[in-house]
Amino acid sequence: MINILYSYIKKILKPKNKDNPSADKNTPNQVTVSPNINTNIDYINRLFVNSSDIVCRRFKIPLDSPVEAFVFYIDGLTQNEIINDNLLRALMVDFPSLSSISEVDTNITSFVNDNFVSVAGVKVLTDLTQVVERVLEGETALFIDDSEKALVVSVREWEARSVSEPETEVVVRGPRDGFTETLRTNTVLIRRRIKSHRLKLESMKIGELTKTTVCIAYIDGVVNDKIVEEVRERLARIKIDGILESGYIEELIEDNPYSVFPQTNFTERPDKVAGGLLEGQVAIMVDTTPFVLLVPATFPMFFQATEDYYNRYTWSTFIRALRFVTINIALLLPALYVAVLTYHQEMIPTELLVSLATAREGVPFPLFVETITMEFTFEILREAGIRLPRPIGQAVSIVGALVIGQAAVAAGLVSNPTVIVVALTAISSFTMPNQNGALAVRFLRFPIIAAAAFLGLFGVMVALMLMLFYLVSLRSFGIPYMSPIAPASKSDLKDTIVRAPWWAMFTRPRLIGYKDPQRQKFTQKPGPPKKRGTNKR
Amino acid sequence: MGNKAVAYLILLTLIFILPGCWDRREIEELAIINAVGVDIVEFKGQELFRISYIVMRPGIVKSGGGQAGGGGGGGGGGGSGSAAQHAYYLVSATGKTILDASRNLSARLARYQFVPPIMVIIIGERLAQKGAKNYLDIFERHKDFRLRTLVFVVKGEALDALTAQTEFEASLADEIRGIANNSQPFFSKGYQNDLLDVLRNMTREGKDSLIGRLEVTAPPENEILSDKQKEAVGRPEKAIVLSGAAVLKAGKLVGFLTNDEARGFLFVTGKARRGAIPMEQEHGDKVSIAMQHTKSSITYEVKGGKLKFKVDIKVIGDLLEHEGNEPVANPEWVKVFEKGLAKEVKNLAEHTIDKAQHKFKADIFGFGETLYRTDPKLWKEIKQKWREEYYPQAEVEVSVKAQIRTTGQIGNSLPVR
Amino acid sequence: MAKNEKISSYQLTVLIITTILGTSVIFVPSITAKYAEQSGWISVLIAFTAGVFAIFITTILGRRFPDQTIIEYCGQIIGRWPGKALGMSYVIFYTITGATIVREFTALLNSMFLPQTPALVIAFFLILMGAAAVSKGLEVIVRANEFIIPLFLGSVFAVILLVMGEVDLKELTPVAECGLQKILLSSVVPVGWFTESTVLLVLIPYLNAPNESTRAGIKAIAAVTMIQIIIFVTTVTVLGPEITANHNYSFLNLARYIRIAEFLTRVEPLVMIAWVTGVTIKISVFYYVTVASAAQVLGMKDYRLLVIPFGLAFIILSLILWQNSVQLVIFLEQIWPIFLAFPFQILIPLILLILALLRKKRGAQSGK
Repeated sequence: MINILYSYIKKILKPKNKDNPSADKNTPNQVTVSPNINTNIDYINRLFVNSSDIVCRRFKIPLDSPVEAFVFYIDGLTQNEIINDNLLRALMVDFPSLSSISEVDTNITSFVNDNFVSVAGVKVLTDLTQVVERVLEGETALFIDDSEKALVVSVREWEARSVSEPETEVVVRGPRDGFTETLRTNTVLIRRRIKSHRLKLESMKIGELTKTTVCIAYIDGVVNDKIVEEVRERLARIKIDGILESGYIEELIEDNPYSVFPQTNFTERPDKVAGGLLEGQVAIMVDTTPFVLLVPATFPMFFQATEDYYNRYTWSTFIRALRFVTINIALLLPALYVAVLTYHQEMIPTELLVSLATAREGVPFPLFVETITMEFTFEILREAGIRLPRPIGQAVSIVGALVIGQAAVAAGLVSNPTVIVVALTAISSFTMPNQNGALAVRFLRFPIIAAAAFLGLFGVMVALMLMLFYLVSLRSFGIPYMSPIAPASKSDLKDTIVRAPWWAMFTRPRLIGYKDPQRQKFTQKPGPPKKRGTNKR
Repeated sequence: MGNKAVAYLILLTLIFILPGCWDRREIEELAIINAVGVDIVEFKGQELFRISYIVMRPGIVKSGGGQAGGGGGGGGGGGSGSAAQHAYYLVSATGKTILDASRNLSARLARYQFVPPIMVIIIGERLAQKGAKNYLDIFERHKDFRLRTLVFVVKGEALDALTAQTEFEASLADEIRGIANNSQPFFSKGYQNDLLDVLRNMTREGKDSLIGRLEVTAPPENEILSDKQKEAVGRPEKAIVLSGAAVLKAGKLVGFLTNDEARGFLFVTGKARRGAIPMEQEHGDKVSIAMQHTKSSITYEVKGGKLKFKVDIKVIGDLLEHEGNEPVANPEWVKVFEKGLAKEVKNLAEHTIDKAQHKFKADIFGFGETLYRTDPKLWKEIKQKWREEYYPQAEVEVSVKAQIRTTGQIGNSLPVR
Repeated sequence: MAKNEKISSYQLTVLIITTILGTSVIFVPSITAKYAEQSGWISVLIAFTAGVFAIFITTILGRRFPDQTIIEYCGQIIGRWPGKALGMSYVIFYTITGATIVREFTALLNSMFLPQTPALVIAFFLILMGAAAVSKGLEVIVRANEFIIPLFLGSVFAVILLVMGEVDLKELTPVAECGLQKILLSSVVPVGWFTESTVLLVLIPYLNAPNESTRAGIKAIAAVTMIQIIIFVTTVTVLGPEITANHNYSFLNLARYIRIAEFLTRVEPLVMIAWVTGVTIKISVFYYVTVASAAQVLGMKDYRLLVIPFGLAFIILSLILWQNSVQLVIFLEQIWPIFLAFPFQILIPLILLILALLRKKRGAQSGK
């Protein structure tokens, strides 16, 4: 009954399906290159009527009867020297006088392309819309009169950020190069690490107006073909006017769009992407953003940092355990504080109880209100600290936290223990390597505090169990979100809870890389010559 | 559908938030109770129960108060000296039952009675005489009481004991707990046990309970000071002292053991830990042995229709003090000392056994329990008449093996030349 | 109901462990100590045999009908209408069991941790968690269980380890003094608990490898028995048999008794929160079994529509079937094991198995 009512209400409220709003009304469907050069020029001028950065250069090729030609490109996106030298000069100045060339038996454009254009990346096109598209990407078009073909030359160059250390993922040990906004630079960084023909880079354009190039990378033979298929399909389904950042794509291809938890991983680091590819993940690189997506992503991945693999395994295991503890602190400490101090005071040792009670004398608010207020204040400070210019930002966050906290305590608005709890929580939340995961944890803190205020530790457990049931039911591209913890997989656990030494990591993660499960041979354990060799397995 | 069901349920949940939280208590609303005393008092011909609490007042602790009752103890001093300013405050109330009394107390207590931090339960003499088990029921039934709380009996009223002043700690409960946990194992006299032990002993077949006893004296009797010294030293008027143990037969108080007799008990049951045993030798030398370790085992046999118990005690100690000139670093002398130690321990143990067996007829050592564990059938036969007949008539033989391990830093004490 | 969710053998073992231990760790020590005093661990050992026996019956019966639950194939064995009636009675049995679990939980929380909170609220939240799990499917319950079982068992062992210093083995003597009869009598209750593994009757179709289910089940029962014995022995040797028998929640009291170095005391709320996870999984399992069975009896495709009605049923029954905790204890000690657990978990499956063998009935073998 309720279902019927519900779906009826939904139908009434849903807006009528409009046409796809992102369709570019100005794009003609199919225009071919006209043999008449003026038609082409008119067409182009009409298209780009108010843009001042279009360069249209008419010239004549000195054949018997000079042939008109023109070059057209967008200023700033091309390497002007090459256009000047290899196109214009080649065709205007260095073009041999036609005495040595008897006749042009083929199409003049092909002829020119085969013999005179000394540039490597060249395409011959007949579709004018495609030519325009490519020019918008930074290529240069050459039109010759009497020819239905246009030559599109790839001489791209623009101002781009140089490869530098990614700011969001800083490491002590490990490579310092990070992705930039240029797709080609990014793919190069991957190619440099995986020099195998099995590394495939498929590109497509997404976004009606932005026509952003998106490139899928995977290692054939390692990755699960179904996942690649699914990724392709989901990307193909995207119909939107613009993709400005990989975050758009992330939200458009998720399994569970309403979820607080991220189902894709993103990174600025090429070594992380390469590592993911080796384990059977698929990377999605988006032009104009340095953040590359990695799918499928499982929850434990958000607690792994690339440095774990470069440092020694005992240390990494310890750090992972520490990270696990700090995640729990970041999520649960304020809630536990509220729960224990308002419902389960018998848990507190008497001396601590006395000092806490003393500290809270004279504070007007109930503990729950105090805690929530301080948490919000801290989030405000943190957000403010991000937006401020760097020199001021540092000062404000430190000053803000300490001074405001102390002043509030002195004014009797909050108590000292609360300030400590909030500070510890905040510091703990900084240990999460992945921003997305950290945001989920920081957000979920608040409902759990509310649950704690309502039913004490029982409330906390109810909230956590509900969260657990939810997490366990999620899937990301078919992979259970909580693997390898649940469903448990012994061989995968050695890279989750601990970090097994490299000579012990024999298999790839089971669910993703099952096609080629063996990563290395068993004989990798190092040692002096006598001891080396076969691990008995 | 599944997700929708959950959504509806969560909406329903929000409805529950409106009426408010039921068990919530802010920490500053609590009256933190450290110690409790229970008494039976007589009022207008009626017998009433009195419950006394030592309550902590955090606001006062902040300004540096101390134990109620006047100068001397605790930190900070009493300031203006009036009782109202002190951090630990004694409150009491009476009622028809113990629970009734505690509820009556709430009429004047500005905060919620927070019972879990209770460390010490003090039972008044009269209540113990009437039969402690019945009245301790609330401590077992109510969820807030812990089996680890210490239990003590006092001669007189518990309320008076709770008015004692502290010498080292801020609160009396801490003081008593300190004496029990830190000191009693160190000198092995007197007795302390927790609620679990008391309840267990009272409900066990073949065992009677022993509960530690506290005394409030001013000053302690073994501190013999002249009046001038008393003034100079500045003792509190009433201090709390561990002073032996109370014997409860079938849950009812029948008498007390002194500190030394309690030590005998500790030997018999193997609970003695450390402590000094002074011995006087035949030729006048005085020697003190510091115990490190004791063990005991109780066995029995039936000889000619009579029960005979054998108590084997093993004592290991170090030579602590030697007043005299004998060359103690000599194996022969060590043997002499060991023999003397064994004799001393044996005397103590026998004295206590005798008192318990014949004067009180209370089986505090658990001879009956031992019988029950090894021969349940026999126990079943005699258990009805255990306390009155078999136990007092049983023969008990004590044998002690003593061993002295070291003689401290020095061997012989250098004689005066 | 599409039976395409699959449980592996390891998941099954762990699921049975939590299902049984969820409530037995709190209640069984005191109930067995009441009748058998310090020899209660022998009763638990006896219950082991009964538990294994139940596993055998359940898995052999279930393996004859690999893709069907008991509700579906009992009609084939005893006839359609008797089968329907039997299915209905199983639904009622599981509903009452679920209500019992809810009541046990609210009784514990009300008496030990949240005395003012109405039992309705506690029951509501417990069922809320159960409903969230059940409506997402069996896989979710199983995976969540895998996640929490280290926490649950870890807390049990932590309590036992921390209390080790107080253990006095003498408390276990004299052994078997109360007589074999009392020991057998007191084993009736753990038998009732251990044979709860017969929820397998409804779960076998979802298994990855039904042929391994016997081994998985026996592993689970062995683990449960061992843990239960350890808990019982620790409780009795620390608290003494009289107090263990007298206190309703002895294991919790044991946790209260922990004191290490004067600061690690009063840890029982931590025990409680670990235990809440175990009970949640247990109620989710029974909730699922109830709702799935009911859907099959009624011939419904999707059991999800029944989640809310049965949830309400659990809550309401838990409040009205027992007026006070005394009735609950008597129910757990006497009525439940003899009139409910034994028939539905041992007797009826046994009869069905014998009949199935005699009449040579088998289930349709689906190609695997």
